[in-house]
Amino acid sequence: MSGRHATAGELELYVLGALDAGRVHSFEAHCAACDTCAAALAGEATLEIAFEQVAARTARGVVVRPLRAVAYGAAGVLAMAAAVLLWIGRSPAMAVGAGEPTAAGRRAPPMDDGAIFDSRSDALDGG
Amino acid sequence: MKAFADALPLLGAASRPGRGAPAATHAARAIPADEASLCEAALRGERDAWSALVHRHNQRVVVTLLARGVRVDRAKDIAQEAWMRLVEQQRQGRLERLQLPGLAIAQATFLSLEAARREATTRRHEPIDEPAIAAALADPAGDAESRMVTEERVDCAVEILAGCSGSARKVFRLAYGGEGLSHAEVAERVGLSLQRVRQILCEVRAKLRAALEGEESS
Repeated sequence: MSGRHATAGELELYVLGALDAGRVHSFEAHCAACDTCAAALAGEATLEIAFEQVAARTARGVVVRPLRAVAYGAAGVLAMAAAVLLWIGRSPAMAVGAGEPTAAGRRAPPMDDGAIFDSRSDALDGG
Repeated sequence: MKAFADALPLLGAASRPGRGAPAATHAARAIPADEASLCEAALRGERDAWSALVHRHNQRVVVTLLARGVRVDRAKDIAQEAWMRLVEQQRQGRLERLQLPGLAIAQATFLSLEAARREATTRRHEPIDEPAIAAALADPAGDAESRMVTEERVDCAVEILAGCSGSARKVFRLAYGGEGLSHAEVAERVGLSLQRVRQILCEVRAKLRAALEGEESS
């Protein structure tokens, strides 16, 4: 081992703690003296830490997902409620079509999509 | 160091990193297997509990130091000293809670920084030594920052992991979930052979490696 650089497999096995016991001592002796292998081992160790970050984030994702589903559901219900309220409030206009003159001679405004979008955003922010 | 002499035998189990090794086999006495019970027993000063905890978490402490650019021989020494300090703190009644491996990592990180500071101070008082400066520049510790994995890459790796099979995800989460489980313990929990667990981990690691190292994924 002391005459050659560590292989990628050895580096990986070492950080996993799975390198054959008979090879550990010479591996460590080489990496302690060789700049190239010390840097490679540091890189492998950094990767190992990053794997833990990935696992932690995935575990958090499992918890967050149902909450997100509830938030989307609530937003959908709010959006539907807003649409129904708008429809009730403007039913004469809806009967003849948005933007058409009503019997009262007024022009009904088109559906306020922005309000629905805002209510959904609020619900998401709250969730 | 003399004060820690009593602690040395129980730290013998940590002489070789052993994350992949089976759980402590040296303990003939029944010691609790779960982390919380082990920590409670260690806080009461039970040597076997300390040995089991060191055995379980030392690899993680060493890997953290390696990732910071500390050479492997130094990393092992520092990790050992960190454990000895924790044992000493417990004996002096100065350790109220034991959260591992975080506490050991914090202690080891502090020790490595302290050593680096001492080294820097010594260097200031030494005559200019060109080869030593060159060696210091070549020290991978200086490159630690550039090796940091960005959030974007971690996000990318999370997506790749989500595309893996359910059993692969479970094995990966257990192995890297912070409980310090050995591969043998992971195998026991998921009902697979140790060999199969290692094979799954190798496959998942290979997939994630490209994303974390910033290579183009195929």
